[in-house]
Amino acid sequence: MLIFATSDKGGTGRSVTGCNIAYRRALQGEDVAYLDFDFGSPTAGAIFDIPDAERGVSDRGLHSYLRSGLEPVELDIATESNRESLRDMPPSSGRLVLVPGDRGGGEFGRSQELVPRCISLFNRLEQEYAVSVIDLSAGRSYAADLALAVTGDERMRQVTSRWLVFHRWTRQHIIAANGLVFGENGILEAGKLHGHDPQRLRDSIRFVRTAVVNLEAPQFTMGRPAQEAWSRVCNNDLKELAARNGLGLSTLLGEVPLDPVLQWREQIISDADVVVSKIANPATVEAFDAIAARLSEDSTWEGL
Amino acid sequence: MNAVAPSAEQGPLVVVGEIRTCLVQNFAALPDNFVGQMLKVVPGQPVYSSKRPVSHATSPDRLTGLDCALASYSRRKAHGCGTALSHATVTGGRILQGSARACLLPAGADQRRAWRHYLARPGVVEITTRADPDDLAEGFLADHGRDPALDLGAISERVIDEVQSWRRLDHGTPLRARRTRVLWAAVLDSEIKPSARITLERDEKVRTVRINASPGDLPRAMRFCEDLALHDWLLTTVSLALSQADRASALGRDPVELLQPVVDQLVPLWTPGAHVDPVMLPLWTGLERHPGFTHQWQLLVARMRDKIAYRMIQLRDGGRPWPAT
Ligand SMILES: Nc1ncnc2c1ncn2[C@@H]1O[C@H](COP(=O)(O)OP(=O)(O)O)[C@@H](O)[C@H]1O
Ligand SMILES: [Mg+2]
Repeated sequence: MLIFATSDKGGTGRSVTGCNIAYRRALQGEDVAYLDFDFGSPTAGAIFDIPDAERGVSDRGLHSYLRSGLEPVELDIATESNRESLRDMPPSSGRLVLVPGDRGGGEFGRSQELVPRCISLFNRLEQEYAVSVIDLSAGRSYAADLALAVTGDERMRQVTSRWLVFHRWTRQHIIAANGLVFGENGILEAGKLHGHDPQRLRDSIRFVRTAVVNLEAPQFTMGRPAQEAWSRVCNNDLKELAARNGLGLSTLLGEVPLDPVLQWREQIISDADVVVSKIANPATVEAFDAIAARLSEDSTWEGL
Repeated sequence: MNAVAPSAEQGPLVVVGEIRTCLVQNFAALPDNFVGQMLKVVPGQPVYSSKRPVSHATSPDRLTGLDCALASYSRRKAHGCGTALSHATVTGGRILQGSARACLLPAGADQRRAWRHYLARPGVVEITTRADPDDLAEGFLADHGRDPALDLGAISERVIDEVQSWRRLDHGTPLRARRTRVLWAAVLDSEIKPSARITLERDEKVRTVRINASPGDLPRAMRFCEDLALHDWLLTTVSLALSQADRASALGRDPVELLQPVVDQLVPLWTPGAHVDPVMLPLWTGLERHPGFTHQWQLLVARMRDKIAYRMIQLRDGGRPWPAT
């Protein structure tokens, strides 16, 4: 199963949430690959805490592969990461592997060979990993267009592809996420050009709300009553706006609460961060876990 | 096109190769006539070497031009120019291999020649620098990390990609499998009995084989390596399926879903040495003694069948949990 992670804007939490979902899915017992297709800013290496791949690798990353066909490296998180919790995943976990981008890769020209190269890469990963998460760059990027071209190809028709659109829980982000999917040159329109069946493509897109303020937090319930009341009104307005923009409950895959750890640092949240050091919130991990499980839940992905 | 096995006048020959093994991207195994059609993506007539005990087909060879650095164990610089040969094999309509090789020979002259010269010697890479055969063979085997000098793996991958893009494949994935690599190097000297040194544990996906044999044995040595690669892949894939099944049971999921396709589709393909020339069979016999390939295989298959049987009893007893094994 291929999971494409996308967002209209940068800084939405796409990479951090995507990496955490991949990690949770591996903890749920499946072999998972994370592909850093964010050619402009490959940050997954930093999130998984792999020193040699902080801002991408110096050679044999995904750009090199797409440009010249050089096989990309696969970094096994269990051996490459600096973080103990990632190195010591329980035996019931699957393998978690990062296919990094290249340092200073940047965008590059289109070429005829890119689509077939991507198809063989995705097909190869599909043979080995139950889930591959592909972090596309923000907006109507080249990576997103490439992903649509590839998944629209005949050779990929047996491979389940799903799209997660990450957005923050604000007016502008809701409208932007709507534009990315339903708007001009959006995913649906571009998908149609690449031979996707519009209905099927639509059914394979779900939204993930990131860094959502928790109204039950003491900051609100124990703070100024006027603040709490006003926040609730805002939240309800956003819910209405989301529903009107096609981002309502039926297309919602999950909601990740604002987490103090992630506010400070882009990282994987381990169970130890919640239970032992207690720096992260249990609700954050629960959200990642639930989203990871829903990736393959048939009821979640029924046609709308 | 057959690899030229030039006479040993120039001293020992070094032939190096890399084999990649994976699953044909199709839900079900392909019938023989489909395999024949599929292998036509490499121009020429595919050859069936056998139909029994399992069918085994090989595509014609194709040529790839090379002009590259060569690895040497002593890290002395070497450079080669010429061509590599590569082909695809399909076993049981299920397992696909890409296999590339090149014979490393000292060049007559220390200058590059016209391509016409190299094209006339398919599968030969001429070394324009002075180099010792052993040094080259060991260098090739050691250099499986980043930036391989002579990247035969990439050539094997290309053959695999071409075969996998055959239009009539459904590109389904019946079971999860890793793509494995076997690097081999043969030093061919005048009449000696074949011997081999095989390293299986260096890396999860990489195996190396060093062979000593006589020049006439080259095609047989290559076949042996392909057969070894295939069976090593089978072992790797079945252990992977078993560990996935263990994880599935630990997490309360049904392991049979994972094991059934493995038992159905892969177990019948275990026929070590069936497609190998008798001259090479002593090498298989060695492997059967240590690490005991078939013994390992039987243990793994028995474990799979046990797990399936347990699950059946569990279902019969109304889904009561069975103690984890
Ligand atoms: N649930 C969250 N709570 C708090 N901060 C978050 C959360 N998710 C992401 N962030 C933070 O938001 C910033 C942007 O996240 P990132 O994943 O890099 O975005 P993108 O990949 O969309 O550009 C990072 O500093 C990250 O730590
Ligand atoms: Mg990012």
